[in-house]
Amino acid sequence: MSGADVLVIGAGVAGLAAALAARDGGASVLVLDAHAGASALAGGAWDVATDVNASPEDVFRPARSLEQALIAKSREDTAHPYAKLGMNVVDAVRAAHERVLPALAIYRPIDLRGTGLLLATDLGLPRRAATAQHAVLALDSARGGAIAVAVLRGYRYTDSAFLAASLADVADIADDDRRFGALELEFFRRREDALLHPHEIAAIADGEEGRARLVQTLTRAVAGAQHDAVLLPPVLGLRSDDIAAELLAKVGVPVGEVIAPLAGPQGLRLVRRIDAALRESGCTRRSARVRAILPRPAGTTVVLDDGEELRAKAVVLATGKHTSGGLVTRGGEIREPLADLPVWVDGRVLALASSSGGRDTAVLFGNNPFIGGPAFRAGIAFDERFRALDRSARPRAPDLLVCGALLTGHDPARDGTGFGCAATTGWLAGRHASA
Amino acid sequence: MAAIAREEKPMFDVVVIGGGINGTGVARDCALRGLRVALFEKNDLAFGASGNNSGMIHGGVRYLTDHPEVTEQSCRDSGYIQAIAPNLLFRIPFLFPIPNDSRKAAVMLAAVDAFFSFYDRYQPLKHGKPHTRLTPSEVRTLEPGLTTDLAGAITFDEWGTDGHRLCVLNAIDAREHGAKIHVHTEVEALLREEQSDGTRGRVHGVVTRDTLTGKRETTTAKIVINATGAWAPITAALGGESATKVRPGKGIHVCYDRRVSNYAVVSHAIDGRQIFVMPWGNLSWIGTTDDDYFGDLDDMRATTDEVRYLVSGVARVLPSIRDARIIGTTVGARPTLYAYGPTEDELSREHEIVDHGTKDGVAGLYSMIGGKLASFRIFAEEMTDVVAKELGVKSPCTTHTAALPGGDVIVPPRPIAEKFGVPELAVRRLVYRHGSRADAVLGRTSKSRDERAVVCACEPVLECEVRHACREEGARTLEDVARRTRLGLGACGAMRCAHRGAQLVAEENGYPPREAHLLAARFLVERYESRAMAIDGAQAQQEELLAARFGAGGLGFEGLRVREGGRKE
Repeated sequence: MSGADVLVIGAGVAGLAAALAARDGGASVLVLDAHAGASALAGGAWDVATDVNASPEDVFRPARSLEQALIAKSREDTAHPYAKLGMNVVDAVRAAHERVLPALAIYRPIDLRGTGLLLATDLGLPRRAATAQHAVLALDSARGGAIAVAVLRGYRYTDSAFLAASLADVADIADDDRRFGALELEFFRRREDALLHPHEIAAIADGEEGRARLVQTLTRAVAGAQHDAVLLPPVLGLRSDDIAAELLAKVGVPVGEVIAPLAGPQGLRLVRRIDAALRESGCTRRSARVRAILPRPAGTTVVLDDGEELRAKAVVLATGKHTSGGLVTRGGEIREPLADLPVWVDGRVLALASSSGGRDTAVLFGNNPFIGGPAFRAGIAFDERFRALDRSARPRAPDLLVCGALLTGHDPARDGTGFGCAATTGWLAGRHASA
Repeated sequence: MAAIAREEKPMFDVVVIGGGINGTGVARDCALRGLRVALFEKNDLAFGASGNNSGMIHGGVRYLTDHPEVTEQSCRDSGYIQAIAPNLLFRIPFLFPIPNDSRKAAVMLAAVDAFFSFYDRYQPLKHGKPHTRLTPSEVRTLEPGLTTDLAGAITFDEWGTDGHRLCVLNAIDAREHGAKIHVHTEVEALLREEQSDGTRGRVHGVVTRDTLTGKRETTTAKIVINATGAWAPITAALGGESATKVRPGKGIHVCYDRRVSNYAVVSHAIDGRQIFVMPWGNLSWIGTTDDDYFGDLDDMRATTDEVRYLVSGVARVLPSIRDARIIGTTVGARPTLYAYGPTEDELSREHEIVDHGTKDGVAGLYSMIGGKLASFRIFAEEMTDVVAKELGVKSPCTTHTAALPGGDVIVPPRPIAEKFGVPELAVRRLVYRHGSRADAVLGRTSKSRDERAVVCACEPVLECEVRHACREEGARTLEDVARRTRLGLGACGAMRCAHRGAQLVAEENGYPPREAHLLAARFLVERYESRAMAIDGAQAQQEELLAARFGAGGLGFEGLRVREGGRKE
């Protein structure tokens, strides 16, 4: 036995939500995690039901509230996990986020009646999200204002001059009255600073001297000029939960980062806070690689790489999809590698061995990276208690649950519900696991 | 259509249609002989077969048995290409393993040994090394990944190249000798003179359209050369009736994320055809197929079954290839000479010049049909000889002695790396592509130090080279830059460089920022199309990550616009 009531496999956002809910239900929780997954690679935004293909006009002036978008998503995308929550989708999302976001501490709370936040990305494009890290600049309050896009001389990862020009151009197309202009900052006083990676630069702002330098640089830059906000690359520290509040107080105008996905400071902040939130809630976390999950009559058994076997009252799979290794594609077939659960897509089990050499992967993965194919929505089917289903759509085992990106019908890279779906389904699965 | 007065002097001596190796090669030869040349390419230089072949300047070993004179000529021309572009050629040692699968294996080994002894006679012409015969244990030491049950192996020696660069360097040299090079410019019509009896006379020019701007222009010339490869019959038909035919042979390559072998290794596919796996730069390629192609030449893609045909064939000698990560495919159509009846592999790889004046009654138009990368120079020389004779030009051909741009001297990369303070690996690649002119490309960085940045980390490619490709080599899209620099063609699928690269292309070409987003999205779609039929293993993880990166980055709207706008406008 593991000594815990609930075993959670995977320590991304879904795993965290499941662990927190199970703890709230009174269960003891052990979280197993082998390596960083997709959550660690995320940027500072948090989607609940974002239209990732929205036009610039819609990004600047959204037609509907998050609540309306959420309901529409659950009705129109009938294969999506939200659709399985039925009329309770809004309540479920609200309850899950009221629990998970405060535990993470680095994100603003979500107002489902509102339209989310208007953010700028590291590609110089506007983007909307349900919420974002405190360190990320929300452009909403700067209506009609001048937003200074900070050019850090020597910073090699984002071309801020392009960023400013692009945001100004897109605002113009969308007939928005925000103005964007480049602002030269001399943050890199030391020559070697320019050779640092983004997370190393961000770490400078964690130190007392670095923070003072940042405040001084920003204060000097905005003095005398009319700036309503300052947009920065992701350099605002790794260890502070709310550096933006401090900067606002000291600099006098809102200062914040662009959205910067891919293993940068924003993902590292999330990883740090997931770890802290698990600790603070009394969950045990163990770094271990799972070799197999065996549904046995005596209870689902988790076999670790070293042969050790663990059992609990319930096992929650929160192993993500392709990037995290929750699904594995090999020889033209997609499999769930731990419990060998059948993989479902569009309401059906994906039959194996469609030809001697496997499937036509262009059919599985589609011909356009922005649209994707069925492989990106493939996943594990689940019942109303989030138990994983077998080929005949019956629970594979009474105590094996699934959540997050691993679920069928959800394309975490494209459908704009990433962390929202992870937190909500994780939280629900955790509740059922501890019930 | 604008009527051109006949007495008006033509703007050019020669218009070349097609920016592949034959088009750029003949444009260079004509320009070097003092002719006024304009070249039009509807896509980009090396867009078709010239940039999607096996990247080899081989010695024509396959002709050895029946046509040794062809082998001799191939080897001699391979030597010439080496002399004019030493930076662009690299040695590819080949391994020909003989499986120990029958009693005949020893006889087979001896026969292959004898065959390559014959080939050795021609190797000095191309500075190749003589073959060697290896024992099974020697093979295991040199190439541990090979299957163990071998009777032995033969090594032989070939030269690899970058077909894109070969075309680009020919085009640049032509331009530096006065030629006008127009890419993304499609020839829509061939102009014919009006005769007094109302019939149509000589071809005396072309009507072109810039495919990016839509701008139409008329260009007159004394002679028009059709060098459009597999498209040649379509182009020739613009002048009227034409009996010109080719038999397009579709050939694909599969590209891996790393070097999976030390040697290029010959294997046999399920139908007995010879195929190979070959290290190339940071990557490995396997190739190739040869299948009659009846589809749309403008919309060719590799298919899953073609990929598996090659992978399973190579896996016979290198089993671990099944676990290696495929990051893309290339596809091209060989412009093979037409014949009805023979199988694809039996078709001649020879070339011929069609004089449409004698053949179709369309004087002033010539077509270059067939040919292969390794024989482009001699083909261009033969074509230019015909043009020179018709135009009464006496100057001799110099393309076998005059160095291509940057090919005059061999420069060591390390001092350049130290001088400019950039990574030596990046400089090695720069020197490979630009030869002695690498210094000039890096020279930009003394004014703008930020241009030393590595934009594409996989290959790697420096910012100054991307800017150089736009300013000096005519790149107008990110795909153009990729063909010239290999930006975005490595393991990450352009996840890290697509957008920054597009920003640079937009800036250099004076496009607004919104165009940069579209350029990046188009490139990402194009790259994805090249690998969608082969996504497997770790590549599936990479695909989800790449899509998430650009979705989170806000590129979704532009990505869908690419789809709605169609791939080729």
